[in-house]
Formats: sequence, C-alpha cells, structure tokens
Amino acid sequence: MMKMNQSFLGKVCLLALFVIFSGAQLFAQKVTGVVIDESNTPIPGVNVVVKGTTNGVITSGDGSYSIVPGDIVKDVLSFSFIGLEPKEVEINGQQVINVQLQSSNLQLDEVVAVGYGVVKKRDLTGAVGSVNAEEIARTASSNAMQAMQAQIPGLDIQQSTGESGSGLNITLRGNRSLSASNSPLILVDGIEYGSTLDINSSDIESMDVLKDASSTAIYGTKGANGVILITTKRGKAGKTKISLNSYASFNSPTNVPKVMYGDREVQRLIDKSNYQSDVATGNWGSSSLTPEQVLTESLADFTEIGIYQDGSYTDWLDIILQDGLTQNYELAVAGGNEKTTFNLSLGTMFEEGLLKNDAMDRYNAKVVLDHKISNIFKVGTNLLYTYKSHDSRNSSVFGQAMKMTTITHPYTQDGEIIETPNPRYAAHVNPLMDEIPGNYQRNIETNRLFGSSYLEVTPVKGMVLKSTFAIDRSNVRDGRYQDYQSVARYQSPGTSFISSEWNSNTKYTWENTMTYDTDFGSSLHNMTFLLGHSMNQSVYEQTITSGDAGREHYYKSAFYDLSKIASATTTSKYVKQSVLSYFTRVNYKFKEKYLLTASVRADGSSTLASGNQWGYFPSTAIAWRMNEEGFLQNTNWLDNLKLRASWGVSGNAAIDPYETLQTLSSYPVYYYIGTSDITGNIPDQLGNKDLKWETTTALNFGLDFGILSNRVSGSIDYFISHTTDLLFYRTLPASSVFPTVLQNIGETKGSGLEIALNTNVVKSRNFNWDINWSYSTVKDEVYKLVEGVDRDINGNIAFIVGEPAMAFYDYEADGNWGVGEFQEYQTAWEARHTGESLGYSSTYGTPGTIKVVDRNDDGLLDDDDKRIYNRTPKHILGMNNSFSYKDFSLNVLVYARLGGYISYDYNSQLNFESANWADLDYWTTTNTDAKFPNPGSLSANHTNYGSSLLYEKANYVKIKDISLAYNLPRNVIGQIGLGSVKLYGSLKNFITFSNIDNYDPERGGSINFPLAKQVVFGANIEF
Amino acid sequence: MKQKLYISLLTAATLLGSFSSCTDFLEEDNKVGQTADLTYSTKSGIDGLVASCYVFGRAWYGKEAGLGLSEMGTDLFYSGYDNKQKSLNSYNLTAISLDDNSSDNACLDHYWEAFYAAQDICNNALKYIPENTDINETLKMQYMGEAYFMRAFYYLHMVSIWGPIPYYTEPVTSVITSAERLPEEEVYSNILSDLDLSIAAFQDAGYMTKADGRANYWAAKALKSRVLLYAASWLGETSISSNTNYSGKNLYALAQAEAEAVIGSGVASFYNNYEDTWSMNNEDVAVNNEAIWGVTYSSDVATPANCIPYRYKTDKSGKNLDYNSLITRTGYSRGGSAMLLQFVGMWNNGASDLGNNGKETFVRPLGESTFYIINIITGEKVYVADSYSKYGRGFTRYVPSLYLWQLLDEHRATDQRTEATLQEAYTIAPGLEGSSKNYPLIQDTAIYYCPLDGNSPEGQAKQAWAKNRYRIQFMANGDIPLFTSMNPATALPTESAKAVSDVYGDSRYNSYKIGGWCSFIGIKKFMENVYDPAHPTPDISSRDAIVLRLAEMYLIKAECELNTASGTAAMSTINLLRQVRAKAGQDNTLSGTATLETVLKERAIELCGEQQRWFDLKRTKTLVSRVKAYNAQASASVQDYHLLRPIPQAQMDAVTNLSTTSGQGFWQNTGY
Repeated sequence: MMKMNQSFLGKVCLLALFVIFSGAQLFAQKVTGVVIDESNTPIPGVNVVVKGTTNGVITSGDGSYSIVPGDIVKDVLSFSFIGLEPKEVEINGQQVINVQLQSSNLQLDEVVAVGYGVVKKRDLTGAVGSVNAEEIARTASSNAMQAMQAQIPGLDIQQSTGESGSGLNITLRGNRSLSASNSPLILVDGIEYGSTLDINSSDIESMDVLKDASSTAIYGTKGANGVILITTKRGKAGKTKISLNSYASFNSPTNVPKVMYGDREVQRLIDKSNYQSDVATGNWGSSSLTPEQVLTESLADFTEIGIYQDGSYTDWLDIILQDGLTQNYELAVAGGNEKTTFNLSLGTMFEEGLLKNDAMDRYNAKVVLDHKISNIFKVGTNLLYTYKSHDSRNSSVFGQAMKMTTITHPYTQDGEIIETPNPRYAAHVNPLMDEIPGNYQRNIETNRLFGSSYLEVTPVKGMVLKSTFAIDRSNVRDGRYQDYQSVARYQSPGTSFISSEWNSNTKYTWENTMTYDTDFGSSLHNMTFLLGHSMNQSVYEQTITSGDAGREHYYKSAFYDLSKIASATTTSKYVKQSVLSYFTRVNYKFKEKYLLTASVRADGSSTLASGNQWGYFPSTAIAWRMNEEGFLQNTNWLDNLKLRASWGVSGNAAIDPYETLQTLSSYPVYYYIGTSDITGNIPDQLGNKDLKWETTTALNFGLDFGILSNRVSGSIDYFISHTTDLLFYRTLPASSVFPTVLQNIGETKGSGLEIALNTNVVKSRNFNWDINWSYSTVKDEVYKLVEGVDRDINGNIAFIVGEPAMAFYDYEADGNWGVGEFQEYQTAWEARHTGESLGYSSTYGTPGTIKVVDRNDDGLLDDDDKRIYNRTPKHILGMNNSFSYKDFSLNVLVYARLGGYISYDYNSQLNFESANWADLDYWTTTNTDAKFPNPGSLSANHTNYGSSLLYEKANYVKIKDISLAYNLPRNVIGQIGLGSVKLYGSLKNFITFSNIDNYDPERGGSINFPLAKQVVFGANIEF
Repeated sequence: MKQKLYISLLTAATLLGSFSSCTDFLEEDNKVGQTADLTYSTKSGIDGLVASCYVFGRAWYGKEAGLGLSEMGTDLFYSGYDNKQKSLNSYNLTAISLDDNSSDNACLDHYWEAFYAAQDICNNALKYIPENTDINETLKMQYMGEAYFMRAFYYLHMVSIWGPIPYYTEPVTSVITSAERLPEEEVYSNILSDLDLSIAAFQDAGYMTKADGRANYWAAKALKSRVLLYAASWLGETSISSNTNYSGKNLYALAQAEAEAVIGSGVASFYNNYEDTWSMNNEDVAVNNEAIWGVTYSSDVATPANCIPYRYKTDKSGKNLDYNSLITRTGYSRGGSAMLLQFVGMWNNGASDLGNNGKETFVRPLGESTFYIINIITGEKVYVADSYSKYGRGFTRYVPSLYLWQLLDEHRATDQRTEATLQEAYTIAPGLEGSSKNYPLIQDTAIYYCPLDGNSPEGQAKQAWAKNRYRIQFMANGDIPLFTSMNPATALPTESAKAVSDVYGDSRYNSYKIGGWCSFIGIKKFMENVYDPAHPTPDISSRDAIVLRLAEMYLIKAECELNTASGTAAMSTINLLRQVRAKAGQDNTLSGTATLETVLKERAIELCGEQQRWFDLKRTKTLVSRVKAYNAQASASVQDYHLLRPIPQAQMDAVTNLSTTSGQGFWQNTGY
C-alpha cells in the first residue's frame, strides 16, 4: 500500500514537470464585441470559442465578450448558445466583432457529454440520450436518478420500495449478465459515483446516457451495461446569479396491498373449518359453521366473538403507516469573470418515510471553481460533500403487521399495548412494540467527500492536456439497537441487541488525457484525437461489532455504548481493487457529412487472475448526415436526416475481488471440545484462476430525423448485442461440495428497438404543446451455457438455452381441483396410458388444492412440467406532454411498462395455520373458479406447488407526474430585484392503472414498504 | 509549431508508457482471507480444521429438521399443530428443493449440501494432518482417527438417507459437473474401512478414553458396531464384498463383538437413576456417564459459537447463503440445540381454561425478577421463573404417538423410563395454590394427561376427582380427549374445540388449543431441566446431543443375538438393560423369547426422540408395516419406495449425467 502511494505521488510530480516544460508563452492580441439576438437584446452566457480549441469565454450580462485568439488572422470564432443557431466568424485581423444570433429550430448543436469530452449532437455517431436541467429539476426525490424514468428509451428505472432513501433498479437495454451486475456505470463529472445520487437536483446540468457499444467502449471493462454521465453545473462568467429552489412534498402511501380484514377474515376461518369438516365426512358442501362456532379464542381484553359482534377489528397497516413530509431547500450562487468562475451550493433535505421513525436528513455542500491562469493553463476543482443521517425501521415490521390477525385489539382498554395480540398464535408480537420510543433504534450516518481537481494545459493550438485527480471518500456508521422488547427480540432470545458497523471507502482516480483537434489546414476535414490514461484504486474497510446485551433497556446509550455487549463479536473486512487503463479515440469528420469515430481501450483489473487481467475494447462508428447531400438539400420539409452505424466491444467485471483465490471462509467456525470453543476455518469456495472479463459486442443502427421545421424530430435505434465469457455463478451438483462456482461460461444475446420522438403539436404565440415520446422494446436470451449443458436451474430461477435471460421457471397452475375432478382426470389419464399409473404424491388431487398442469402428461410433476415466465417487459413507453400558455406551463408524464412477469409476494401471503392471509380468492365448494387453495386444505401441495401461483404479468400505465408551473411575469419581479420566480405544484405517482389490484407493479413483487404518492409545492427563485 | 506538437506527443506517450511498469498496481492484496496450504500447516490451523470436522454434526443433531428426518413418519410421533415438516410426516414428500421455505420443508436439499461439505472438511483434514510439521506424531494419529471417524459418520447418514451416493476420498478442488452413485455395499465397505483406520489410529495414539468430547477409540468401536448392524439388517448379514476384511463374514457377529467390547470397556456406565442421563447437569457428553460420544454444544448460547457454517452455495452476487432456519433455528448470530422445544405442547399459551387466559396460573418466564403472578386470593406476588423455566416454549412440533404412550405406560409400575420420558403434567409454582377461578381447588397440578379411556370407569373416577382441581385430558374419549380413538392404528391427535364442556357446562375448553395437536403429553428428556437464572425459558440450549450411548450397545447386542444366537439370548440381554432401568425393588424383566418386535419396542422405550427411529425401521424394513399399524397421519401414503429419500431436485438439475434408469448415470430414487 505504502509502496503504491509513493509511486503514485511520484507520477503526479512527473506530470507536473511535463506540464511546466511543455508550456510556452504566446503572443496575445484581443478581440472584443457584443452578441445580440433577433430582437437586438444582448445575450449573456453565449459561448465564444476559438474554433478548434478549448479557448473560449462566455458573454457577460451585457452580451459583451473579450477573447484572445491564438492567431488573430487565421483563427475563426464560433458563437453558440442553446436555442440559437451557432455562428462562425473568421477574425481576419478584426479586433471588434459584433454578432447577431438567430433562434434555431434545430437542437442539433446542443452538446452532449460523451466519454472524456463533449460532442455536438449533430456530430454524434453513437446512440446517446439526454435529460436536461429543466427536467431534472422537476424531480422531488432524494435520488436525482428518478429524473430519468420514462425519459430515455432503453433505460428502465424501477423503484421497489417506499422506504426513505431507498435505491432504484436501473438497467439499460435489458439484461446481458447472469451473475455480474446489469446496472449501468454512473459517473458524476467523469468520476464513478454509484446509483444513489445524493446531489441537489438543481445542481445538475445534464444527464447523458451512452447506450451503444461504440459510445461505451471508451469505458472498457465497466461499459457493457451502458454509461450514465451526470454533469453538474459550473460557474459562468457574468452577473452573479443566486438561485433558491425549495419544495415541500406531502407523501402518503399508495397502492398498499390489502390483507383480509374483519368479516372477510372471519369468513376465511369459517370456510377453513367447513372444508376440514367436509374432508372428514367426504360430504362436500355439507358443513356450514357459524361465527360463534369458529371464533372460539380470546385474550384477557377481548374475545374473538366479541370483536366480531361489535366490529372492532384492527387494521394493522393503517395503524403503522403514516403520511410523511419531505422538505427540500437548495441555494446556489454562481458567477465569475473571464478568468475565474465559481458555483457554490448548499442543500438540505428532510425526508419522512411512511412508517414512524423512518426518516432521512441530508445536507449537501458543493464548491466548483475554475480559473484560467493563462491562455495555456487552467485549473479547477469540484468538491461535493454530503452528510446523511437516516433513521431506519426494521423492515420486518411491515410483514409482521400484514400477517397479524385483524380479529384482535392492539391496545388494552387502559391503552397499554397488548404485546402478543394474536389469540391464535402467541409468537406474533405486536408490531407497535417497535414504536415504543427507544425499542428499535437504527441510524445510518454517512459522510462523503467526492471531488476532483484538474489542471488543463493548452500548449499548442488544438491540443489540450488535462490531468484530473479525484477522490471519493465515504464513512458510514450503521448503528442498531434492538431492545429485548422489540418485535424481533421479544419472543426470542428476549435480550437486547447492539450492533455497530463502521466502514470507510476510499477511492482515488487519476486520469490524464490529451485531446488534439485539427482540420489539417483544410475545411474538408476535421479530426479530434484523444489519448488517455486512468488509474483507479479503491480500498474498503469494515468493522462490525455486535452482540447480546442482556435483558436491560439501553434506550439512551443505544448502539453508542458497545461496552454494554456481554460478549461481542467483531468481524472485519478489507477489500482492495485496482484498475489501470489506457485509451484512445479518433473522431473524424469529412465535409461535415461523413463522420467516423474509432476508439480502443485497454483495462487491467486486479480482481481477475493474472494472465487474464488485461482486456482490450475496440469500437468504431460511422454516420452519414444525408440531408447535407446535394440531392436532399432542396427538400424543404426535411431538416435533418442522419444514418448511424456502430460496432463496439465493452466489458463487465463487476465481480467481487479475491474470487480467483481459493481462500478459506472468512467466517470462522467453532466447535466445543473439552472446555473451550475451538476456532477453525474451512474452505467454502472454489477459486477460479481463469476468471476474465465478460465481453459484450454490440451493433447499433440508428436514424436521426427532423421534418416540418423540426416540428417532428426523433431517432430510431436498433441494436443487437452478444455477450460472451459470461461471469456466471454456475450451479454445480451439491455432491461436488461447492454448489456454485464463478466461471466465464455461456453467452447471451439481446436485441432491441428504441424510438425517441419529439412532436410539437401546437406552436403559437402564447400556446405551445410538445409531446416527447419514448418507446423501447428489448429481447434477450441465453444463447449458450457450458458445452453439453442446456440449462442451469436454481430454485425458480433458470437459465435455459434459447429462453430469456431473466426468467422464472416454475409450474403452471390451473385453478384448483374440484370435487371428483381428480378421479375423472385419473380415469382419463389411465385410458391414455394403458398399464401405467399416476406418480403424483398421495394427497395430490384433493378438492380445493392446486391443480398443476402436467405439461408432458407423463403422470409425474417434475422439472419437465415447468414453464418460463419471462421477467423482461415487452414494451416500455413514456409520454411527456408539455403545455405552455403565457407564463403557465403544465407537464404530464405518462409511463407504461407492459409485459414481464413478477413474482408477487402477496400471492404467497397465505398461511395454513396461524397468520392472516392476503385478501386472496380461495376455493370453496361454491367458489370453484378461485385461484388459491382452500385455507383448510393440507399445506403439503401448497408447499410443493404453491410457487406456481406467484407469477403475475406486470402491466401498468402510470401518470407519474402532473406539474403545473407559473413563472411570475418578469416585469413584475424585475422591479423587486428578482431574476425569475417559478412557482409550481405537482402530483406524483397519483394514478396507476395496473392489472394487479391495489398494487403498483413497479415494485417488482415486493410488498414490504409501499410507495408514496406525493403532492409537491415548490418555488424556484433566481436573483 | 509542428515540432512542438511532435515533442508534446512524444512526451505524452512516454509518460503514459511509464505507467505500464506499475505491474504491482494490479496485484490482489488479500489481508483478511487465508489459504488452505498456509493455514493448515500451522498448529492452530490444523487444530481448528480437525475441530471443524465435527461441526456439521450440529446441522443434524439437536435440530428440528434433522429430528424430523430421523423420528418423524415413524410409529412413534405425529406432527403437532405448528409442525414445520408436515409433508415429511405424511410422506407427501417430493424431490423439489424447497430451499429456505420454513413453513413446511424436509430440508433434504440442505442436508445434501451440508453432508457433502462436512465430508470435504474431513477429507481436507486427512490431507493436511500428515503434511503438518507443527504437531507431534501422536497427535497426528489422534487427529487422523478423528477425521476418519467423522467421514464415516457423515457417510453413514448419507447412505442411510439416500442409498447409493457419490463418494469422495479427497478434497474437491476442481469443478465436477457429474456425479456417480456408488452402490450402497461399496459405501458401507468404505465406512467400515474408515472406522478400522480410525480405530487403528486411535490405538496408535493411545487415545482410548472419553476425554473431552472428541471421537476416540471406543466411540469408533461403538459406531462400527452400529454400522455393522445397519449393513447386516439392511443389506444382508454377509453382504459386504468390496472390503476384503469383511467379505463373506457375518456382520451381526462382528457387530455383536464390537458392542460387547464397548460394553466391557468401561468407557461408559449406567446411572442408577435413569433421569440423571438427561439432567442438564450431565448434559456434557464428556461428563455424562452413559454417553460414549455425541455432538457438543457450547454453553455460550449468545454468540455464534454454536452456529453451523454458512452454505457453500452462494447467491447471485457470490455471498454464501444461510442454511434453512429449521436447521439453524436461531440463525447465525447465536446457536445451540433446539431439542428442548420440539416435544413441548402448549402449556402457558394454550391454557385458556385456566383463568385470565392462563395467565392466572402460567406465564412463560423471560426474566427472573420480573416474572411473577399475583395470587388471586392472597393478592401476593408469586415469582415463578424457577418453577416454569423448565417447561420451555410450547413449539407443538412433535406429538408422541398413541402407540409410544401406551408402550411407555405399559411398564409404568416397574420401569423408571416411563416417568423420566413423559411430561405428563404441568404443575404450578408454589404459592399459587387455589389461585384459579376455573379450578378453585387447584393445588399443585394444573394440567394432567391421563393414559386412560375417558369413558372407562377409572377414567370417570379420575375425572370426578379432577373436577375443579385441574384440567384432565384423557388418551381418548372423555370431556377433552387427546386422541380420536384408543386404537393406535387409527388414532389421530384431536384438533377441535369443545364448545361446551360436559363436566363444567361452560365453554372453557372452546379452543383449538385444548385439542391433542396443541395440548399433548410431551417428551421431557431434552428439557432445560435445571434452572439457570441467566436463561429462564431459553429457546436454545447448550445441551449436547448424545449420539452413541451405552444402552444402544445392549440393544445392538440383543438384535445381533436374534441372528447369531437365539431369541432367548436376546431377551436376556434386553433384560440386562431393563434391570438397570427398573424402579427400585421392582422386577422389570420380560419373559419369553425376544423377536425383532421386542427389540424395536425396547428401542422405542429407551431411545425415542434420539434421532434413530426412522433408520431402525428403515433398515429392518419394518417402516411401512409399523407406520401403517401405528401412525394414522402417514399410513395412507407410506410405501416401500419411501425407504429411500428423494435425491434433491437441485442435484438432479445440476448433474450432467442425468439418467432415468436406476443404476445408470445419475438417477433419481424410484418413486420420486
């Protein structure tokens, strides 16, 4: 470690020397001027750049600029501003150049971030999608990644729980990997960040998604799942801007799964007893018990029959769920002059979850500074500090509330909590026990400093050398105190529990790039050349101390005082990973029409076995801007037409370190001999010295178009990807001791179609209506497993050659057996199979139990009777409507996800003895079409085949966001010194149409923490 | 200009190139992990490895799922109200791997994994002990003896559960995708060979006493005796052919010789008082007079000291999975034996008839000082922890069958074991006399399970006496019967409530909890019967699981004598044991000629609940007939093919040499 640091520092010095010696003083002469728009108003913030260099300035508040070009005769100044046509002016020795910019119809000159640089949209060769600052600012979530949902075709974002501060599941272009991660790489200002974006949403300038392999190959081993580039705002020269963004969000639970309540639960108990009585007599439908006969149980404070009679049932979910309030305040100050720009921001967020004591507070501070030392040297820094304190609830409480009977009371008449309120099952502890102050305390405190500094050198015209050093250091303290009277400890072991985890994660990245831009002295050619190097190391350390603290309340010292643990267990972890990379890229443009990009990256990773540590990732892409061709130049209705094709290879090595080594288990085992526990270490994994990258090769064909003065524009992309050497936790027979081993085996294939369409439906002086559509469809399949193996089954997860990569593999249920139905089935089957007999287990076929489809009709129920339930959605559709009328704007975002099965936990919420059921439709002699078995039936069939009832198609359409905003008229607010004031209100997640009742399938089957619907009020004020 | 450009490019290229020299940058730096070669070459490493050979014994012995697979679905037990393995008991068992389902799971898939992991640890020990230079030759021989013993021990379980099975003699270090099922005869040959190597090694090491819970010379002899009996009864008396030492020999004779040797060795002795065998004061196998060897549990029940290892199987991200909670019972933060919970019916939480929902009389004590009951007459606080702690938590998992109850009851007058085995009554804490609205005459007993027909005159008399004194539940019939009939072939635990009591005319028994599936006579052998104020009503115990004990040697000897000598000889051996178990001054002997039936009955009386019954019935091929005769919960389903358990579907799915023909490739056991 020490040795590495020294060599690391040494290299920093070497680079500094290099930079100093290669610099040279250049002759300077100034050009000034003013930039105005069509109405002759000066425009602040226009980019003025000496073409082919990164030498540029921004016009100040009065539209003026001053720039020192390299060559006052030959250089060309380019002026650009979002929403306006860019303009290029040859200097030709002039010292004053005033420019008028026309508003642009084309958005083609917006720049988008690509790896290690930016590219004009017009010059893109790959498939890239973007979300801009305005859309990002509309999110009201602690995770700014939410902004991208339904915005970019191919990007699938799902939120599975409503717990405060919870993460998102993000996949791009379906699933390729079976064991390695399928999450895209997320970079903030070029540095890997992670998928929970703890950044003020108003601090984000843009989010760009690199989708095709030619765009992602520059990220080599980490690029295979796509790359999301988050660019934060920097300062701009000109007037200092102060902006204040704040909102309050009122959150309430939505689509909460219902359990059986009250009379419905009573009926279940009756139907259960009736069934059991019918089984005993064999006389189906003869038993008709009354509530009085069934509700026999009681506790000290109530009797079941009494509750039935006065209807005083308990709705547990209603008791434990609450409405939450989120408050968010963001303050930013940005500005600067030609030489120095800055952007400072502070943010505070208080989020309340839907359960009591589930809350998160977050504080952000951000400093961005850029300074031009001279025309040659530029330095800058970007520091982001985040502090989070998250009080978390024991997630099992929700489950506890769902299975608790409703025929009970939570409190005694005196208002005391009844500790075990289920008269039928004493082991069920009252979920309210965790709400007694102090009984359950869990706090996760996170400190994170994320930042980078750079030195940029422009030694000669067109060449930029940049060295960036980034650090990401986070410390987390996760403390937990569970009182002996908390839900999880009450029954067993009846002692208090204290646990404290400390971990730190330190990452360094050092990146050096050189870009060289040239036109070879001819206006026909344009080439940008990139050469770069990156080294990256992370060290993770963790210590967990935990243990039993006896039968005492430690409400006050909670998890802070570890000396209260009677005999503490301490475990520690140390994980180091290093990656070393070299990369190069060429962007070549011929006649502004023919575009070529080619890149290659070499990555070395410490997680792989030596000999396999290095991987090489080439890519190439071409594009043809057809509308620039002579034969289309007179086609007036066509504004833009570009064909793109790309090919690239990218990798995935998102596996744990040390998998290549055959190591002993990090968990010691103990065995008591004589008078002591002897500690041993056993081998619990097979090391694999042959591990290497997983490699994805992808082809992308794209078409960008704009017609009718760009009233309709968009792009269509089709891709085919092929992943080989899959990193895969392969299932081995358990008889070979190690039932899983990580290997590079198998291949997957994927393909998909993505359409992004912008339609300007109405465009008039006061009223404007835009619809942005996004659509994607993706198909993936397991193409190959190991030689001679065509399936890998692990419970209900199976990888089968020719079948989707993400699928459940299970039986198919066909309702329940009716009275006498199985006998008919048996007779018919035996007639079909002379001399054979059915091999089902003995209780199979009982009326009111699951009927499983014997797909191959062989009289046995085994794996050959199972079917595939594809988890990947067939269609994902987003539609974002923006209406604006004068100073009002209205946004309506609709999101639909169709197809794809989920394993719905609700459908397993049936317990044959003691706990409450989900409100499921079960079989009785009078309700024979029900899906679920009778509560009185034997559990054996449900145990074996019940999982076939889990799968539901997760179709849903959601009106995710309705936002109404009002911009206060400028002439009004100008008088009180404000730049702009926007007031808005939103309804988020309010309306969901789903084929599953009372459920939001976005959650992917989980029922633990419901999602929130939000009413948001906010204001954006600029001074 | 051009020149400067080239210089810049060259410098940049050189600079970038210079990073390539940092090859050490990509080296893995594993500070916390350890490798086998390094660890096992040290003294502490090899000590730990040998100790680890035993650890998977804790997955089976003292655990709910292991108990289920070794006692359930036999003639001795029914499943109770909250049993988690009902489909196992009713033989509605399939090959499906139910993984972490803990509501109804035989856990065969997890045991399949656990036993293969366990034998691999033994194979590692057998590989690394001879290579270790930090320990002396004597200790090496002892350690080899232990490792051979444990490998034999695990394979005995595997072959008894599944029949032909894959067998390894070396640690697995590479990917194996197929599996070969070694015929049972060869597995038994290997087990016997391991035990002979173990015995020889222990002899060389001079490790011939039961010192500290490790396997030893006599433990190996005792296990060998059991293995020979299993082979003889299951495969045939001269069935072993692969192991030339046993080829053509009468295995019963050999088993008998080993049993006699152990009996004569003095390694174990009987307590005069049978109850002492089960006292928590004697729970340590190293201390228990009668124990020859067992699986130990540490007295440290609050830390992971008693936990079994994690599964070697991992999740999608490579993290080792947990074994099913029916096997770990308390997860991975603490552990112990779960036997104390399994045979206990509802006493406190089921006593809804005992006033204030039972709380007038019974509470489950969780803390010494805090748990008291207020006497409703005197109004005084009565501290109850030391009276009630031993009853434990009423898990209602296993109900002793009517057959077992009757068997134990038969010799109540002469045999200590009846009362030392059955939990027949729940008594109240001193100071609570009379403190019950429903039973105002209550003195000591609160619940009594009476081995009579409630309709018989004796039963009626008992009922009359019990009125207003305590709750009395009869074997069958009467006011609140435990079983549906007095016929062991058809009797089932009762399940329903009694709307109106015949005796009291009120609805005090109107609860499913009074049914025989919740409220039943328990087995008290495994109870936490010595009060420990630090752990009142523990839900996990440090009780060691006695696997081999002296009484079994007599029973093996007797069973062998049926074959090698005569039923008379067998009976006199049985009587030796019965005399030891006799109540003071009572003649507890049986007369006549012993048969296999006699041996099985005696085994039931002596060993019930000790995780042997299913194997005894299986190997003697009496499983189907006895289940049909004495277990109405399973009699409709049980068939001959159930003598082997299904190979877990996860294994079937993973092997590359799957076959549908028995004896070829990797096949499933018939019937599944």
